[in-house]
Amino acid sequence: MNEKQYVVFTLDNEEYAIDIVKVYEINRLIEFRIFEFPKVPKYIEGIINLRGEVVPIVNIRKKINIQCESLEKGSRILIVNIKGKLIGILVDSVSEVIHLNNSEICEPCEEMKNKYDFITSIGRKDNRVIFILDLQKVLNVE
Amino acid sequence: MDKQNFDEIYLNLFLEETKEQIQNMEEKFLMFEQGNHEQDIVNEIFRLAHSIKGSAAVMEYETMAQLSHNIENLLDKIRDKKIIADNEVMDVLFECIDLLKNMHATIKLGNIPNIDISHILSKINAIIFSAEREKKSKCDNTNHDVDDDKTLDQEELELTEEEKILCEDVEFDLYTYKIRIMLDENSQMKCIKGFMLIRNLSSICNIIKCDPPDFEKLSDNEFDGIINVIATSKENYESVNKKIHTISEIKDIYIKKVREKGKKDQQIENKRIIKNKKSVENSTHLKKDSTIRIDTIKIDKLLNLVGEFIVDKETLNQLALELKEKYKHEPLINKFLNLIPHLSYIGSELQEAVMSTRMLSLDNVFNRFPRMVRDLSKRCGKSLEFTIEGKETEVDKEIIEELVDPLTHIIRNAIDHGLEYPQERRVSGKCETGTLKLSGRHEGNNVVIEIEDDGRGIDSSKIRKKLLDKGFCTEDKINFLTEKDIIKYIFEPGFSTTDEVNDISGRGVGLDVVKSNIGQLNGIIDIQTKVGKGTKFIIKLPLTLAIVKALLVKEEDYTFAIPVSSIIETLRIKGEEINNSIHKINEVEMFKWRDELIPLIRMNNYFQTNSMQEQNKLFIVVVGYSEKKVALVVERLLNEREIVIKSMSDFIGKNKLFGNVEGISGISILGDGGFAYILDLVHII
Repeated sequence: MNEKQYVVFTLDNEEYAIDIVKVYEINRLIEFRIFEFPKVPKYIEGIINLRGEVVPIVNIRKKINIQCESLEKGSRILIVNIKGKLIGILVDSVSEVIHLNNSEICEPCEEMKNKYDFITSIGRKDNRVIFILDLQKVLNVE
Repeated sequence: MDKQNFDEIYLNLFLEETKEQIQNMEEKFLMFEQGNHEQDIVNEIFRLAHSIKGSAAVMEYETMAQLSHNIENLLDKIRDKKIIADNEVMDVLFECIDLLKNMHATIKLGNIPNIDISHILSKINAIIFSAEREKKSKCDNTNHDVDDDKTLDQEELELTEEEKILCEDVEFDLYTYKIRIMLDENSQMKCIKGFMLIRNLSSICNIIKCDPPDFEKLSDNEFDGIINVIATSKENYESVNKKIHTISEIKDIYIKKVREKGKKDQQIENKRIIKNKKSVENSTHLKKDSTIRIDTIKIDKLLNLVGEFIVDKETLNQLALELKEKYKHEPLINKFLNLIPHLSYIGSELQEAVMSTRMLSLDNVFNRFPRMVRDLSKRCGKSLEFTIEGKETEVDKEIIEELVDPLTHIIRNAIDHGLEYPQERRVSGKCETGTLKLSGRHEGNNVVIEIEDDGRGIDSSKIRKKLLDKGFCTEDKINFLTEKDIIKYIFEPGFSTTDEVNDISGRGVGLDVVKSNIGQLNGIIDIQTKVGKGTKFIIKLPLTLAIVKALLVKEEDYTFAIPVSSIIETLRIKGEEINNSIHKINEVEMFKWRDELIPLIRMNNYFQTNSMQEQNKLFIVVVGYSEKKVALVVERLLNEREIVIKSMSDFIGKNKLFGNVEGISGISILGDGGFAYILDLVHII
């Protein structure tokens, strides 16, 4: 059991990955109308109506302080299930599902651990560098 | 269905039934302890113990059955007044209840209850044994009230085994008597007297057995004048006695009521099928109302479906209005539109009906407190009278479950801290027994629960001192606080004015949890207290209905929903009126409404939207609850409709995804796919 599957997505040309178990659904941004929510932090784009359920949409770029541009038409909403709650995160694109085994994962360096504690490990495959995220830390979900 | 399922079904049935029965038994014990010794109660307790024994035996829970059996024994003696239920006996009985609860919990977890009950059994046996020893030494033999006639030794007038079998089929609403009549040896015509006696008795009794059996064949020489009769009758002791006295020259009469007239089923050791069938019939008669148990999952599913139906119904309503405008002369359309009001009506009724299935009476929460109060007051050495009012008040099931902890905490506080020791009370001129009252009632769209005691009250000066000592507040800040504000500090985490910590209270983690629990139910908690007089905690909870009628208002691109129940009035003011009614003091705006000056809140400011405000025309919604009112300025009024509330508590709050968004308590999905944000008036006001 030393191989895990990850969903890989891109933000600003960098690759990130999350545990596939947490992924609920992937949708196209244009299929939804995001309704703004008053008085919320900037990284909350708003909420959508997902077949009768209220799902908040997080602009992850704003949350982890990556340079933010206006939402592209090709953007995707990656809906994740954290502790039973559905949350949608805006990503540039979703590329694939990959398998990573223990040898392909390594720990981040000290500086990274301090500044970006939501990056739990770094995956290396075929010369690619993929940042594996801990969504609970990113989203501050308790 | 496979066997597994059957077992599960029976197990669940067993658990539910015995839970009720154990709870019932505890309540009846409490009533009994408080002096209510009515025969009904004792019989009911006996019946409950017997049921539990039977069910436990069927489910093969030996220890539980054995414990119940012993409880039955003890109860039997108490019922026959051979044992007096004093403190020691009551304590043993309550200990039995606790053991039963323990076993029930073990079974619920899927294990076999093999608790060691030898300890309690020996206690029970000790009680029974000492009572019997006392009795034997007394030579006491009465079991009836009339002391006119002499009575024989107990044993002689007891039913023999064969006589017992004869008496088994006696209907339960008759007394059974064993009678011995001794005619004067020297009287003439004893046989005829005997014959007449039996004939007279027959007029009010059913003679089951008679010795000698046949007087006509008897001669006076053979007859020793002693007649033994076993008879049943509706009549009481005195009438039977009188009837016998109609014959002259009777030397002695001994009558013993060997079986009481029972309103419910009597328990006899011999288990015969007929008797058991009777007991089953009787117990089903006793179920007062017809109920069925439903899985809450089924109800929630119903509720969801009803919710979706309501959304569609609302959309239909809207469409109907538009269609009516467009096609008012089309007969087919009109026919179609005529259906809509009725559909609407069904929707509302359906919604109300399903909501009410989720309503349970407060008794479900209140019923656990009498026992707790009893134990706690004993432990603390305080004497108090506990009353409960309004337990029939109905409240949503979710609320019931959440109320247990906060109420438990407040009641414990009241007994531990609030009420004084008896001597202290005497010294201050109060009655030694304190009072503690738990009450519930409906008030508007809320449920109000109060816990009131007549104890020490809360001393604000003590709190003031504690605040300074513990560094909660600085000296100068304190002077600005009113007494009410100071007292509200007891809800702060880490705050407690007791110096010692015991397992009941004093750790300072209680009341803040209570406040947040109540807050999670969208309720508020308030205190009224007076030093030396007592304290009252008041909890107000909205009757959380997942579906409410709301007024939709528009502000910029946002649609907000205001629950109609909180709306007092909607107004439109223009031109001059605006200047006349809105006044500014410092930075705070006030609105003149009727004869009051109430705070004015502009929605666009509160929610930081960018909408432009028309200067000549304003829409105002006056909202409020109890005495607090606020005027809300909105951009536009939309319409009124029923909305389904979806809570946002998962995301709204400190440390949650959205942070603390004040002013919005939930969201509703509108028929057109959009959202309406439901105003949280408690925070706005």
